[in-house]
Amino acid sequence: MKLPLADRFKPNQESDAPLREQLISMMNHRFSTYGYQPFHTPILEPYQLYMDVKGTIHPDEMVKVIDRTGKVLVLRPDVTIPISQYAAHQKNLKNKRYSYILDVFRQGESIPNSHVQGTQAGIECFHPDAPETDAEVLVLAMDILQDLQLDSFKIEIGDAGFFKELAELAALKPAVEEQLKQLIQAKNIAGIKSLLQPLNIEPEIRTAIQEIPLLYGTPEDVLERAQAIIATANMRERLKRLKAIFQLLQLYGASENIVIDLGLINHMNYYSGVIFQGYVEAVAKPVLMGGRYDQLAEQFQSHLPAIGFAYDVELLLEKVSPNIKPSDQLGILLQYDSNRQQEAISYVTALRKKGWKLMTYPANQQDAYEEIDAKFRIFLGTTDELWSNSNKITSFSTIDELLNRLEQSTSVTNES
Amino acid sequence: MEMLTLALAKGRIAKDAISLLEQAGIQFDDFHDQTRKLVFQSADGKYRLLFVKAVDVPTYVETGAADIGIVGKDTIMEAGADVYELLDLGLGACQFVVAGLGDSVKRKQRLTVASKYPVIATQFFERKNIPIETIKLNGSVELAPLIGMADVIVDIVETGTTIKENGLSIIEEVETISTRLIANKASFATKTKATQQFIMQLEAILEGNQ
Repeated sequence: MKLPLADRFKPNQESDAPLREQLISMMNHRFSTYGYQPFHTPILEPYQLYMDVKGTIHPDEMVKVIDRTGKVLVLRPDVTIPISQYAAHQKNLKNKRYSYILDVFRQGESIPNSHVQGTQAGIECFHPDAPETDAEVLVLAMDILQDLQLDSFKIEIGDAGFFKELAELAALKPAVEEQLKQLIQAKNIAGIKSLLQPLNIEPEIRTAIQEIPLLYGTPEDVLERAQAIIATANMRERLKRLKAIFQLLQLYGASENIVIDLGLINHMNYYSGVIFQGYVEAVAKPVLMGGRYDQLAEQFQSHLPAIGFAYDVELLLEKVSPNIKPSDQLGILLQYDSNRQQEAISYVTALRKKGWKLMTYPANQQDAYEEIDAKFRIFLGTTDELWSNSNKITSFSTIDELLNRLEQSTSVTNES
Repeated sequence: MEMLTLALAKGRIAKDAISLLEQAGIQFDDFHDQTRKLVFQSADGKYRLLFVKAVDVPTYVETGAADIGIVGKDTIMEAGADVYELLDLGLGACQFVVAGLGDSVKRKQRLTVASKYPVIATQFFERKNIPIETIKLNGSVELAPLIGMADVIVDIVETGTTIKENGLSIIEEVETISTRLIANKASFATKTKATQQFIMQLEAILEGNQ
């Protein structure tokens, strides 16, 4: 059977790969500067794991496989749940910060063009449940965008508990709550009003729910306006927490691109506190999603407050500046006449040890090297040793002399 | 300020929407009823208008090709797009109804529903716990019950004339629909100022018209 190439490889598959590698290494580096340790989870996970954890991924979205004993497994649909399970099962969790860059597999229900495989780059931070932790996680998320030179971005911050609390006070039926959630996510104020109208809800709660979509804007403004709709002590605490996080972000000098959106609701039901998502200019979907999920570990019989986020690597790649990509030009192309093979090999070994990007061919294998574009060319011939630097050809006699000259000419080009 | 791209649905509401925009001070000079052009620039250079098929408006907005869309609630519901639905423009109001021959709903164990809007039909009957099968048709939906292809139809009616002339009657009203303003969520976040100003301009006109 002939597989259609176009379906498996995107048009820019080849040129994207070095950029993707660079992006991943930059992100890994940034994660490590905040003390995060890379973590790896199995690609095949028990289906049951995701079915037991309430409010996560819809069963239809998971890609299932059956092993030889008939047990149903899924291709890793999410990373947070397995990491939480791992952390919850540690008697004494020494390391509290984990990072990952892993592929996740989900099939969109009704979206025909959605990809099944996507790369997520994220972190999970366990303990302590404090505004300092939340703020630091947000600053890390923003540092990543700055590393990638995506300076024009917005981070929307909300609180998952805010809506849950109001819905509880209004004693909504689950079906109505689900509808209301969708209307709030769509900021559909007219729709919210008509949904609530026939229901018997206290007037203050009704007004509060109707206000939620409007609570969008600068932190100073929204946190002030939100005071008016507070109905419980718990909601007051949540608002205080958001304010504390914002003040810390100001200390970091990272408050400029922050928007508060109390109508923010994540489809992942496990979020319990602050939630956030990030948008980059000219990308239609959030590139970043995250939040606090303090109760998730309780499903694994452990108390483990946590906060985390994940970046959608494919979306970032769409937008990330190609100038972070390392140059794909070859450093050195070394050719040799066959009677000098042994010397050639010792040259090559010495140069690669110095970190040069290098390819080598016997001079008669012209087919292999004639199209290669290299910064420097070196030739070990039967009678002479030559090297060329931008069309200037000079001779040399020892390897040390060559190394010196190469070093000199790179420092010159770096300065210019 | 950044330029905003609007996607406007072709069809019966287009003219009204354009005049609403005009009242709000947003002028598209070379726009007229019979136009074949698909892209227009506003006189002040702040807006670009894409003139597209109604069913495509939610797609333009969800993918970010347009920041804002103007389209009927029926199309938004059917598409199920993940967008903000910010304003009811009140234009082109009509009803979503279930219609059929007499008591056709009671007759059957499993109802067959013909509609241009299979998603909306399915959601409606799901809420009522009635199992249905849908047949997607693209026009002349009233024909389906007459020739026994379906038990009932789910469709939009303005006056109800077509339904009556074909001997069908309205069994139940599903929902009132009208033209809405939708926005891409990312544009709302990254072009907040321009988007909110645009909405405020329209809101002011809508309030004045009431």
